Amino acid sequence: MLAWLFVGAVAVLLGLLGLLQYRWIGEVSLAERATMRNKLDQGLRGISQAFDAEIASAATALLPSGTASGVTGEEFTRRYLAWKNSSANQRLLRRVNRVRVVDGAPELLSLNPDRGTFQAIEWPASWGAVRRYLLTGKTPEGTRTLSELSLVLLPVPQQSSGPRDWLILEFDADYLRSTVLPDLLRAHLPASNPESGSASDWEAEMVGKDDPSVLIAGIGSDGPSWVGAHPDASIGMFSVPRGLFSPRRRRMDGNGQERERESMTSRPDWGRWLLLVRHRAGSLDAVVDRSRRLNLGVTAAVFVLLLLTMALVRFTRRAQRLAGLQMEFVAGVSHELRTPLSVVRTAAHNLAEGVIRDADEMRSYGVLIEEEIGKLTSTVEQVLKFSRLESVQSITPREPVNMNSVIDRAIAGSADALKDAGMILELHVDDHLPPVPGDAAALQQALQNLIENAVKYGRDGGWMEVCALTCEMSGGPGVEIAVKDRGQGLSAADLEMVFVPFFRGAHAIADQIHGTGLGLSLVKRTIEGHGGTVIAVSEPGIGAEFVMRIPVAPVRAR
Amino acid sequence: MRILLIEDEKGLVRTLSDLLRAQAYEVEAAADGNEGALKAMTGEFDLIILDIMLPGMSGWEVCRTIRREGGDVLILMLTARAHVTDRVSGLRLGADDYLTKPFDPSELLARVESLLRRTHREKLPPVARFRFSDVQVDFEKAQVLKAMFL
Repeated sequence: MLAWLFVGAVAVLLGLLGLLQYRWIGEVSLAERATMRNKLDQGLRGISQAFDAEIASAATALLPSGTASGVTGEEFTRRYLAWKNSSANQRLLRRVNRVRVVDGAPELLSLNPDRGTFQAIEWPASWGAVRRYLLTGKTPEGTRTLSELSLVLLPVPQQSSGPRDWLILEFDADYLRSTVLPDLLRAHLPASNPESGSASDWEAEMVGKDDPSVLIAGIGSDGPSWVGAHPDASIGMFSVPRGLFSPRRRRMDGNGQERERESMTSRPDWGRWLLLVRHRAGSLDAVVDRSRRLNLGVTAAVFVLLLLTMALVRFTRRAQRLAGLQMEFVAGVSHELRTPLSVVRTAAHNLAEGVIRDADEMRSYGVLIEEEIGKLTSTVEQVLKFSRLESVQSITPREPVNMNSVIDRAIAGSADALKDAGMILELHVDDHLPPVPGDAAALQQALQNLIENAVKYGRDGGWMEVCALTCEMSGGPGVEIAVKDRGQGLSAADLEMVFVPFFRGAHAIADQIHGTGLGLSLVKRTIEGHGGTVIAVSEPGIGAEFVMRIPVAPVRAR
Repeated sequence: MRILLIEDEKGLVRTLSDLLRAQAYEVEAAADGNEGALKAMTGEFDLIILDIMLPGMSGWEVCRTIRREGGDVLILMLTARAHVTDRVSGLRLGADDYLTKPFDPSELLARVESLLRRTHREKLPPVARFRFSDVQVDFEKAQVLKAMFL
């Protein structure tokens, strides 16, 4: 009882702990998600700023300060070479171009650093939008075409009267895609687990800011990759040229400082391009979910282990208790065997040594020896029967058994014990009990066990009663036989264990009452083998009652 | 010599009484622990053969009661439990000897005799030894000792 309470308490505690753990893991996941999101945002800001700074440094390096009317090719060459010497990404700038609008016709020139001069070149077909913009001064329709170009258009500061003069920095798109951006990704969003074989946990994709359907580049730390429709985060990039295209930015022409400062301030809605990132595992949520599932899995495994351990402990305790009972049984049985043996041995000695010579005495010695042998036989029989029932579990043969004669024979069989104990036996037996299908000898033995038990333990009460009547059972009519005594009764703890094989009550052990602890378990097995039930009712100090009920309707053999 | 047999097994009481009486001992029997303890306290017995598994009061309790009340009667315990702890606890409680059932009846007789003989000797009056100046005469051991050996 106490053990079950304990198990219940532990189960409730485990449940509570499980709930707490579940909620805690949820919170941890949220926190983890927030941390990852934070890191991601920081990393993205870093990428955007570094990228824009790279572009801006090239722009500021090349753009002459102050009015630059008549800036020569040598001047630009000098500036270009100076930038190239100081920059880590020398391949970043593919070409430096210059546009002069002369008589409404933009003329495209390209700097040849070897000669230090600008040479006229053809307008590339894809640069149409730039050309139109330079002619009209308006941001053309379909910025899409502009988004695709890695150009930076810089107005060369000049007197308002002179011809309009522009610098077009043409960045190497392939280099940006294959080197600069992957480097930035690796630097600002490094892999959380460097062992994973990948330099970054993230995959990125560059799209047009104004039209995200324009794919500029797929960027992965290990090669090109594509993000798709559900990025985890995004940030604007390539802010410098955008400012130059806008009217507001144009008003700031001639102030390189101002331009640079503002271009460095990256905002998500700022820039010509948009960098989309997604976690390699599919999404940030997928990662958080995966670690949450892992946590839950580990916790569940721990709980299952805990439960298994508890079950194991319980099982071990049961096994220990059983082993204890069996030790008791061995002690009990050895007593049941040793006592009659010593009587027989002493009697034999007396006869052999001529202590007993009188013929009458010799005869009574014979009777005594027979009695003792009878006790030995019955103990041996009981143990053997128990082990037989243990292995077979069924009662044979099944024939209609007259219960009245079973009761009569059981009482006759216990008559000597009753007489010795000087107990009064009250009988209340229905004369016409219905026959029960089963084993007459086994049923008689079971009832006799109950009666002899009542004699053993109810001797002090000096009275016992056997009642038998027809009763209703769940599956139809049955025969109920009750054996009552007025002995010391059984404590609640003993009552619970009374049908357990080898168990002997505290009172039986204290009062040194003979027995093997098998009788009642044999009764229970016999009656259950007949499809019936047997229960024990007792109030300590008042007496005990054993009631067995056997169904009359034939039961199918199990 | 008077022997008290405290044993609930009627068959054993019968055979043991016959055996002991044939050796000229006076035997009286008690069938349970309480009766046995009462009879033992009368002090009329030289030796008690005490079974451990008794109704009413176990053999151990009978033994403890006798010793607690100051009885120094010889106690030979009969136990059906061969376990060493059972024997040890019997001896600790004040038993003088023990036998495990089923015992050899001649061994029982031998132990009874030896227990009684030992006590008999210890109980001999001190007058069995005399001392005159530096000479001691011991009638029991048939010895005369002079001072240098005393």
